[in-house]
Amino acid sequence: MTDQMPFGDMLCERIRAASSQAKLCPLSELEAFAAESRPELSVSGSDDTSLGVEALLADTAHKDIHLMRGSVDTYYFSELSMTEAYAKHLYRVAERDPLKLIADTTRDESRMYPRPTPASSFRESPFLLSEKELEEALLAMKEKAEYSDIQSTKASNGELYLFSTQSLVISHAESLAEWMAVGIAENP
Amino acid sequence: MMGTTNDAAQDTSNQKTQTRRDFLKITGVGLAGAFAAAALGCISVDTRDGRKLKAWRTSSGAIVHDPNLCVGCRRCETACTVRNDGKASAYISRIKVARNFNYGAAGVTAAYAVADGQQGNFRLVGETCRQCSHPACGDACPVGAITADKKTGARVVDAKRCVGCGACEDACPWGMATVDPETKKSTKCLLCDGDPSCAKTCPTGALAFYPWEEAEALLFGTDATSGATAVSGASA
Amino acid sequence: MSATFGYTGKILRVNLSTGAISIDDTMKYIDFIGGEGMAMKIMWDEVAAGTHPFAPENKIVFGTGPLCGSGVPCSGRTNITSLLPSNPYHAVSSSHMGGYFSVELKYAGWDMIVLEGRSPKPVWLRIEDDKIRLEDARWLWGKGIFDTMAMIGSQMGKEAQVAAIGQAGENQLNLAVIRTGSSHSAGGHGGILGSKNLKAIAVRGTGSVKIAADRHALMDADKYLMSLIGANNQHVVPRNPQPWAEFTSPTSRWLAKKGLYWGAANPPVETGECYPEDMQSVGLRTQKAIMDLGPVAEKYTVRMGGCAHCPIRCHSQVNIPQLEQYGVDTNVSNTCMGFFSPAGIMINGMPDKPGMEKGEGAMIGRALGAKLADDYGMWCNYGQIGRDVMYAYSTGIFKKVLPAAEYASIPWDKLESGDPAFLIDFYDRVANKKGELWHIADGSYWLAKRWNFGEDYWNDYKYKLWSKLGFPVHHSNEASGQVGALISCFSNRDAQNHSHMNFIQAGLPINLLKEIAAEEWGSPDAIDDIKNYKPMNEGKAKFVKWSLTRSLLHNSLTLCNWMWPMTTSPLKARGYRGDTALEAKFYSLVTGIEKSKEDLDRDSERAFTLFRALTVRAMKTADMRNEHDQTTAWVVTAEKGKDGKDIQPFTPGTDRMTQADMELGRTLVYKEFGWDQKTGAPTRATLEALGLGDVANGLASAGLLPA
Repeated sequence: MTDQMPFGDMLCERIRAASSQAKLCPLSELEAFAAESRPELSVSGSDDTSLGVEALLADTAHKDIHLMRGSVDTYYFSELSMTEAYAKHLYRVAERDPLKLIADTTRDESRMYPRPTPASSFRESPFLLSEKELEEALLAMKEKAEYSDIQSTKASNGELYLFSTQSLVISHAESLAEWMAVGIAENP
Repeated sequence: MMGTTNDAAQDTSNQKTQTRRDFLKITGVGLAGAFAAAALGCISVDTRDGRKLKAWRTSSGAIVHDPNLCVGCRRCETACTVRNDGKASAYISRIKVARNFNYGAAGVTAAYAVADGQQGNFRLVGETCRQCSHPACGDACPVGAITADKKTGARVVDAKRCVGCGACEDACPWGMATVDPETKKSTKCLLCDGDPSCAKTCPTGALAFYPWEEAEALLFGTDATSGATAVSGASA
Repeated sequence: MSATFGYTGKILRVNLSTGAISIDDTMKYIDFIGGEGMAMKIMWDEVAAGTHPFAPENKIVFGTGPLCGSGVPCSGRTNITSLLPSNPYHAVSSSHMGGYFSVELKYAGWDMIVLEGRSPKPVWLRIEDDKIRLEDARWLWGKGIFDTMAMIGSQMGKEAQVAAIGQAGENQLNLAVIRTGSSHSAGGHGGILGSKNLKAIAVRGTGSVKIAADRHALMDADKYLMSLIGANNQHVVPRNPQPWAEFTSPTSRWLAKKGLYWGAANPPVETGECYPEDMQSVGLRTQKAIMDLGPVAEKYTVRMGGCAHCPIRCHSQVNIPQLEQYGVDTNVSNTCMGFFSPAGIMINGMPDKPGMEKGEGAMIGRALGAKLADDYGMWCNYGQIGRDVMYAYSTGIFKKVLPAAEYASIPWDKLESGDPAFLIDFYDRVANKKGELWHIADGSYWLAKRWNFGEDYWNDYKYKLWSKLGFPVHHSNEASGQVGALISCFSNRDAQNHSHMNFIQAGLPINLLKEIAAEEWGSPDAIDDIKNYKPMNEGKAKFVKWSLTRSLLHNSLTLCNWMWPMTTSPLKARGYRGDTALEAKFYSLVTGIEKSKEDLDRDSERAFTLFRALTVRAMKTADMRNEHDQTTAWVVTAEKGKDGKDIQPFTPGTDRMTQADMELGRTLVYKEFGWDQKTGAPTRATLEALGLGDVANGLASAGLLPA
């Protein structure tokens, strides 16, 4: 059956399968698969298959498949079993830049909800930074100008929160952190 | 009122179970009688010692309750009665969760604080109709109002024929058949035409329909996980 | 009485003085919906102003509503209304409990129970369908609630649902509960049953609640509602990122995730991803034990419990073997304040002992306190009792007011060191009315008078008193600024309102909430960013009125206001909209009485205005604005930031209000209700428009109608 399926559809199925397992599907993986099963897809005169696979996916009219271009790879997901928000989390993890991961996630939450982000949330799924990675990233961010908007505040129970001054003023972030860490629990 | 050959269960494994059990019981009837029973839903047969016995087609399956998953919301009870009776009730629900809810199947004991139930260890033992291969309720009904449903094989009450005498209620070793005090008609699990309302409504999947062989093992097996002990020497 | 749907049509009346039992017709109160609404009418008609809560002349109304027992999701609650002992004016107030009691009452054929008088000896009320008996309770008197329930169950049958008081209620403490099931308490009215010599009410019902609509129409509505329901408090986004979720909230009660378990189930049950569409995992969404008792409680969680016909399970049911050393049963069930208030009494916290896991000490103490308070039937005045202990202890008042021998006999060292065993001693003294200490259960107003608390008690934020009437914050200014603040100004006890709280904490981004607010209350400015509040406006006033009347509607139907209204939903396809016409839809389907959302809003407004009139009558003044609706001073005083400087109200970083803005808020809310804008009392015109002309006449004859 699958032999008769158009190759673009097969690639989409691989992407959907990955999404349903809460994973992104990197272009590099699709390329490897293509190189193995359909070497003829390589653009003639070049051993780069990416043009072929990417073009094929762009061409294939599957509205559920979306692409995110990163510096490490390009990633696909299907919105049928994954939201763009979750895909973005996975993308930031896949890009292997914890500083940017933390900063971009924090900026999103400071802007959108708005609220500060518990630093501990980066230890949990899907981020799963180790304690050491998190600590080092937070230290390193302080030195970098591009992350100067990312500030932190500690609630009275010791819990650390991050926020972006692009969206939250310090007094607001401080009181929100206290509310989230202590206030909510005291007002069940 | 009884199943026809065309409507009978197609699942041969069901029939195997049925024949195995019922051969033991219907001595002297012979193969032809048993096969007729399997095909028709249920028929009456005469035993050598002159008693009348009914032979039943096996149910397609039964609903089983998992005490470990049950959260005691008892939405199953109203899902059952709203669908089947057009009103909400616990007493006539064909799924009995309220019964063992407070203190477990054993009722109040000196050790209630560590026994089953919400007043104890929180374990909730709901009871479901076993759709017995040889249903005491159906056998006891003096007017033949309980038969195997054509589609599901469930033992169902024909309200038009039921006289509300309570013979089924008295006969069921598991206390499942219940005469509705308001309508004076018997209520028992009818598997909702193959799409049980209780299971659909259960918010944790603690209630589920199992095909007969699995249901039989879960409900009657030595490691039965659901339901209480029969009141007296019951058998399937 | 004609056939009814939803309603059973019957009210059970019991005169405990004479033993007379009679039947009343529910339908004559139909304009007041059910439960709390109908109880307000009964209290207005039948209990004279100035009656003491513990006098035989006081009545107590146990109310269900037309949806209770019908299977509509989250419809298992019981409303209890009577004069409130802890209130300085003994004004009418309601307490509520979940569980299974009200459903059983409906199935026994009763919409409500109205009790009056005082039995010459301890009795319990036995209801088996239409067979009603008063039974001797002398053998139960002095027993805790758990044993009382078991002893009644052994007489009446294991299926009986029991509502009972413990020693605290028997001893007529102001802070006593009526409890049902393993952990469902109605706070504040336990002493009234004690004063009536009524230990318990036990019910067994074999009947049904009739449904007017075609059964499939109700089943379809149920299915629709289930597609909109979230987790506890109608939080509609998960706490942790999930592949299916667009939004998350670190404070969401949608806690389920891969790797999070009911750890003490056998075998352990994984809560898992809980897709919104999956109707077979709804009950797993709220693993609340890790909120109530901390992450350490995961492995002690047997399962989540809750109330009849509610798919959302918010009661943490745990088995903590460590409790054995304190001589209590190891199985404990409770939720929220039930666990939080014992921790409040332990003013120095409950540190982990050597060898314990992180948070284990506090978990043990919370569970121990919950079990003890539930057995004695103690109320905590929504957590205030702990802050009262803190005040009396830190100011040296205990030393002053307790007789020296009593003071010396109290194990203060255990309080100091955070040993939960202090709670065993504390609850025994208080519930059993020993010495002077038990007055801590008088409630804040009476206690402050008796022990001569200073103004700092009322004015310092850390004691969290909301009103000089003696009740604390409960989703007040911290819950959407003026909206929560004003909601808290209209009650006679802590506000117990979640109409607004569920919405603001749903977990959605502020822009989405503002869109929904505009649709519901006519203005996106009905809601602000949390902790960044803007001055009062009309949208907020509409939000306040809606929250107050919806809560009363839920306590009348009876639906759980900890889940309803369904203002939001987890569905992206609906733009996360819920459906606030669902109460009316279910009401119409179940009762066959066609009502629109606006009709029910109007009915709720009628009942709420009657509640207001009851408060006017109890306080013998129409000047509600100044005598009733004011807050304590801290609410309208700027708070200090981390830098020690004042954070000005209506700037980012504070939820404090100003007096002028709150006065404007009162005016705007009075206007929404059509009450007198100067005093906040209902006017004759408004009362008459609501069909409450008799109430207007009653107030006029007492000189209590505004000019």
